[in-house]
Amino acid sequence: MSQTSKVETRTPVTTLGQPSKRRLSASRGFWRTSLSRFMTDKVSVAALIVFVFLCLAIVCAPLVSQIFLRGQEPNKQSLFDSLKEPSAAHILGTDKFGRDVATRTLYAGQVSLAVGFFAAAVSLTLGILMGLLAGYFGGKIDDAVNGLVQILQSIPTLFLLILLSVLILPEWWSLAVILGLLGWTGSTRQVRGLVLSLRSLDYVDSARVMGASNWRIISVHILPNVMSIVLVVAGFEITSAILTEAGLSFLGFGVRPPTGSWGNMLNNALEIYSKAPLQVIAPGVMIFITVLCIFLIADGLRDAFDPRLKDKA
Amino acid sequence: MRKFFIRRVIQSILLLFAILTVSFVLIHAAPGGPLQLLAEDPRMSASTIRAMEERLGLNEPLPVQYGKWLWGVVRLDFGFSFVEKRPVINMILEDAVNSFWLVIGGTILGMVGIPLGLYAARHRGRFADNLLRVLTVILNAVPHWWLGLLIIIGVASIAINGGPKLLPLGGMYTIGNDNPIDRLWHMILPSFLVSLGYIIVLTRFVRSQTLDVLGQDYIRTARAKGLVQGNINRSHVMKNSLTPLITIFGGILPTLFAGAAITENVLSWPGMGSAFVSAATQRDYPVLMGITLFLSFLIILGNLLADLSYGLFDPRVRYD
Repeated sequence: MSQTSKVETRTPVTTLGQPSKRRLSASRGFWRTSLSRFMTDKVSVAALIVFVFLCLAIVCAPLVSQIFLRGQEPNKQSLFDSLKEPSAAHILGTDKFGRDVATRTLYAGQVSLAVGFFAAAVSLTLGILMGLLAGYFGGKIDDAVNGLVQILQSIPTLFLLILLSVLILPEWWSLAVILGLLGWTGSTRQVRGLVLSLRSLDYVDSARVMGASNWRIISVHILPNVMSIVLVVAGFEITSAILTEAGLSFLGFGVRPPTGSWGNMLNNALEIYSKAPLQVIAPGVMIFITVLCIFLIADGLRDAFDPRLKDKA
Repeated sequence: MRKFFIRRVIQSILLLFAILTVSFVLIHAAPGGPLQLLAEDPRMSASTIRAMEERLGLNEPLPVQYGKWLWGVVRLDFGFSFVEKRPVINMILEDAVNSFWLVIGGTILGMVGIPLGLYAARHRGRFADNLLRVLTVILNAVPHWWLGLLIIIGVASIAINGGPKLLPLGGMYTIGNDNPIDRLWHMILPSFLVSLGYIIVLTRFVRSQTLDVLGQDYIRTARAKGLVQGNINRSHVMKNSLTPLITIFGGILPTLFAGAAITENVLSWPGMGSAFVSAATQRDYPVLMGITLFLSFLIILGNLLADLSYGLFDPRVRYD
């Protein structure tokens, strides 16, 4: 990774006459360069902007609903208003229980995004840890981690999730933890591969020669160089968690009603799609936009970190 | 090479063993144990439950149970369904056949990805390549089962408004009219949905493989000695870029069985996914365990075969 090869390109300092007023232009560093490269990619930036807006709207759901949706509550039932067509009062109509579909979609986003981010946090933490251990120490530890990865990859995840969901009836956060615990294999593979190649580089050897402990080498010299890949993997972990949660909740084994998530809104919609098609379309479109944005951002990040990869993707 | 084969087979057996052990722990860690569902039934007296435990050997020490269970599972004996009162393996095999049809349909349709990938690689950076890239990104971001829902809604609303009924809304055949053409008609939509994931993976994979090959020296040599592009494509590019597909097939096929689960539910296709979900709502643990293990077997077997066959088809692969 080019972060370590910081080339100091100083302008020659003129000793005669006035000293140059320009700041000595050291390299801007890996992260700054990558950021500016990311910012030149229009598609990624557009995706980032849309995603930030989406997150803001969802996080500030009460406020947004106060301003645009007459401050309706997501779980308030009103059986007289069951399955209404879209109108000024209910922009996207109402569901079977007379709940406003637009408001529910907005609030459901909180659950779906939270599950996605939380699950990704769990799986990344675990994935980085396992990847570092396996890649750095190798040998028996590597074999053990590989064994775990193989076991997890040989069990059909969705089926295992349903089974676990039947056994322990998870809340949204425990669901996220389970998703994370089952989903770390991908990031481990990436991190492990990178650590393997970093481990044998000269600067790591020289750190070791100078007497740095394993812990110091891992945390100071290796971890920072892995972070760029982790950021890209994070995007894919979030999207896969959101999609899996949606599928699981759609089948009725994920987030349990009345708490709405994009997936379980679709679950109710299956019975009544002829009367309330918007109830099927709205949550799906939200999933699509969210996942698409994160995909594009992650893709843009990958290209920004390593422009050589661009054509191979 | 022989050594590699043997090592790989032993590895798979160990893997299988590990998964079985995890499953056993899962069953017995379940609150209330394997008979919890029956114990909840008010008509079941405590003595009946105890008699059943005795008959099923659930009062024996755990290691003994483990051994017996393991011996059974190895012979594909997954026990009896609580709900349907018949051997789980019989149920699985029936459903697996239906899922298999879906997977076959999906695989055939998914082959479209190969020419797409080849075309994209040969026209890199042009309109078609970019269009394909955009399409794959979009298709990756949509839950395919949701697309299925949308298509059903579309078809249903056309039919309701007096239009023709373009596609069936689910199921495997029209009741009372079970002929091959009717089956095919019912297979179109679910196979299409299953194939989507396939097409994406294949297009990307073939594209990057082909690009890789196109940049090789021997392609330049072939061109330099005056070979027509068509010949180069046929005898050099395709041969070298498509061989690695074997690993993909071995890896993907079993996961398709698993991946089709939600689609099966949307379209009420009577496959393993549907069976699993209905077993889950009824908490029919033996069926749940059986299907999960069965699919794990398939996945391990698929990966093993892919690894073993890879060397046979690609002489460049060396085993150390």
